[in-house]
Amino acid sequence: METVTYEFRFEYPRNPEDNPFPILQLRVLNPSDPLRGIDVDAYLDSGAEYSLFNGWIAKSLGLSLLEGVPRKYGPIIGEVIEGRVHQVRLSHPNLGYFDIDIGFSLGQIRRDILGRDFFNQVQIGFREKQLSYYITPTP
Amino acid sequence: MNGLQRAIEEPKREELLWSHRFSTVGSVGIVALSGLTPSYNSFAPTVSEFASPLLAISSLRRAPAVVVGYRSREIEWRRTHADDLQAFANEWVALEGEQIVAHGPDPMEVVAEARARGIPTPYIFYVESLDESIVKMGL
Repeated sequence: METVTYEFRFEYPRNPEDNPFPILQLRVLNPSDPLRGIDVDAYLDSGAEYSLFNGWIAKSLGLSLLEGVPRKYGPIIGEVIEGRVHQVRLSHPNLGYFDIDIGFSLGQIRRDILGRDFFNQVQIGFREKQLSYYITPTP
Repeated sequence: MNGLQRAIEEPKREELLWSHRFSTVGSVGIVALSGLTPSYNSFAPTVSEFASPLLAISSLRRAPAVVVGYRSREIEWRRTHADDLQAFANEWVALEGEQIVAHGPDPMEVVAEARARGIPTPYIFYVESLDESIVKMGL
């Protein structure tokens, strides 16, 4: 039997509706201007191939949203979501930081999503019954 | 560890791990005295592990540290003030500690207002309206 060990355990935070969700709170930073950032609740979504954050976050970091590399995101229904990819720094007090390409939506989305591109940077596991997830900050 | 990611400093990591080990040992002591296994502690030793000290020690070594992010105070406030937040349904809110410093339908304006109040990295989230008939999906 293969055993995976994890360094950190996170409990699902509760959103305003008091429902627990696998959310990772992260600080999003512009690597060239790391003094100003945005703290966000990012939803861990293993069904998403790539991460997608709100475009206003990129603008708030001083990035020129439209100058990023175009990428289209296919939701389970409805129209394709257009985004632009920028490299940003995702920081967490325990996990360290990740310089990673994140897509930013041109329109507004309700939730910021961390997809499998982020999962590829860490070792992550879920225990839904315990409303907990586990991360080791190495893949 | 890959090249894109910087781990937290090694002494800090060790300190975190040790502090958790000690706290875990404390909780095990309580469990042993009470004869109960608390349901919230998914790593609490089972009865069979009590029968084998070596197994119990091995469990302690594997227990990951429970961590919170930058905004644990805000998360707790959101959890305990879910009803209050419904006054801001369908808006973006900047929360600093236990104070709402800005809110509105335009997240860029909310960020600007929070920064104008001296918060370089505000915590921003969207308040979804309560509708128990709707469940959430990623995108």
